[in-house]
Amino acid sequence: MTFAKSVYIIDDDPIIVFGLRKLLSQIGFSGGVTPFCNGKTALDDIERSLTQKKRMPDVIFLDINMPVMDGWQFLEAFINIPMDKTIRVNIVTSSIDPADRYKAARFQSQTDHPISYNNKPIKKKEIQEIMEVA
Amino acid sequence: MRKTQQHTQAYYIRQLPRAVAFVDTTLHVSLASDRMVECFGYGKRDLKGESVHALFDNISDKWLKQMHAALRGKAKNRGRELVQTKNGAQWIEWVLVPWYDDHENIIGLILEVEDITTTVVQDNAIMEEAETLRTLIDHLPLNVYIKDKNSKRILANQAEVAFCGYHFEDEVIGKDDYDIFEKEDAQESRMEDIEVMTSMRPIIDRETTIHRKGKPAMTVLSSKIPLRSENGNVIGLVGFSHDISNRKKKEEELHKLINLSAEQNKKLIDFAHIVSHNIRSQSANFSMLLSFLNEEGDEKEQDKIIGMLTDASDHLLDTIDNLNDVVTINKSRDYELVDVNLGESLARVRMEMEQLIEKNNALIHQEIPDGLTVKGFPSYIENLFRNLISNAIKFKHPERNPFIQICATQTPGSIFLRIEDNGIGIDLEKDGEKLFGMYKTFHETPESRGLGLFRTKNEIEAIGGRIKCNSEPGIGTVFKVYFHDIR
Repeated sequence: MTFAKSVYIIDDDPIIVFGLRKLLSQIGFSGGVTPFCNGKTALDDIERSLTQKKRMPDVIFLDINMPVMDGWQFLEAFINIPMDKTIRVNIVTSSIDPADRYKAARFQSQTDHPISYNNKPIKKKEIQEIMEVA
Repeated sequence: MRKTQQHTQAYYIRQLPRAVAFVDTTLHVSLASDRMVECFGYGKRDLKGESVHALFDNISDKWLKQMHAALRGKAKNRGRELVQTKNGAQWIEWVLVPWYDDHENIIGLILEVEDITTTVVQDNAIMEEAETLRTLIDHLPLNVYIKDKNSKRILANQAEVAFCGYHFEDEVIGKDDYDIFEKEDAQESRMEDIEVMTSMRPIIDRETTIHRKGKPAMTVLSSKIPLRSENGNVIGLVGFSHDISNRKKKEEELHKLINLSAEQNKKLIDFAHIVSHNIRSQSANFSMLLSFLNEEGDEKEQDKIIGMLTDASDHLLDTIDNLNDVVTINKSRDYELVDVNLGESLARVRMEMEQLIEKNNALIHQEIPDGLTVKGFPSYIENLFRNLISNAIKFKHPERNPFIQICATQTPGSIFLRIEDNGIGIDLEKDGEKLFGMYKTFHETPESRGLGLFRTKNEIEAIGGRIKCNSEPGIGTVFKVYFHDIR
């Protein structure tokens, strides 16, 4: 079983960051976890890493509702960054609005980065699947 | 010999193809053509000795006078008469000339009569038809006109006359649209006329806004139909138009209403999403934390999780309080609005925020006419000022002191409030949609909760106003608030 090495969590809720970290460690993930409190800080980091040829994340957990730059604005910008690596983006949201699911599917049709969609609370089993595929 | 000559003359006269009678000075017939006997003779074979009164019952005084005039020598006169004959009522056309003997003495008169009943009846029918048509055209609830090739009116019904601003058709005849409309509209109308007359294709029910000289704009449905002469050449056009301003107005009101309810509906859906989203996210946290707590052996970690559960529960309470506030705002439409003095509201807010304003070296410049009021609730207007001033200070530009300009102006029907700051501004292209949304924040400032502008917008709309925003990142932000002025 090959595990992802580096995970980004983009969520302004510290409880979610705590929970995801805990779930990741419960499934035996030992790589790096970097939290960002909104899309803007994460995007800046990714762009910086690209220019400085630093290590890019393998998996991103992305919330939708966030201040400054929300999840959709982040995705819009992210899929337009030219890069060789595909990064798995997993949207984790408490929204049960079907429109959000369609929106995610529409983004998937525009990019090679695999995009998945999960409702909060995210389960250990779901995390395991995400990390294994990645 | 003389007798024979007379006899021969009488023989010729009888054969005349017209109804002719020679009448003596006492108005008795001396001689009549066969045609006369046949037409007006009541079946007699000869009319000799008959009085003209016997031939034409109820001879009018006027005609009788003319007969006497002929007997006195009046050369020739003619007229029309409705008479009673053996055939009943008949219209006749008569010609009278004096009857002279060899010595130029008047010995009677010669009467020629023609039955014109058929023609008169036809004429009357045509006139009646024309009159009926005219009455119809005049009373149509439409403007009807006919224009010649130069677009000058040659017919206008009453509605059209009134539409043109006159009382009588004569005043409108010969006028073109340049005499009646503003120049631009007249030009457009003339172009239409030319189009109709050259293409020979009618324009039907074209919606047009017309500005008549010195009158308010009017929306009409206008039709123009080319008019041809018998040989097929265009000689002008027939036009119809009618005023649909009222209908148009109602249509617009309906549209406004539809938009309003669509907007309300959207708000309701947004609100439902926000409610479900916020409450779901907190309960998702509960569920996750509780599952951790169940499996956690480490006491320290357990305490941490319980601390987080407490936070989540506080958040949930906050969320419910906020949502409740929103419901209260939307409900306030039902209460009676009061006059709120803008200047006094601003003064109260400035006093209350004095410390914050001074601490940040903020300068507020205000231009609000004394006594200017809007219909609303004092707390809503104060919230508006409080919120926009505190935003202007919170998001001040790092290189300059906050400068806030607040001015209010009154125009007929509305009051306009403008609040401008020199802060960091908002990128409306990126965040415009979210500006007035709930829980939307744009700046990483800890005290941003994403409720202020959402609340302000809801409150302003609840009292019938509108709020708009212009902003340029790095320059500043302008909020424009419009209130209805009901007085």
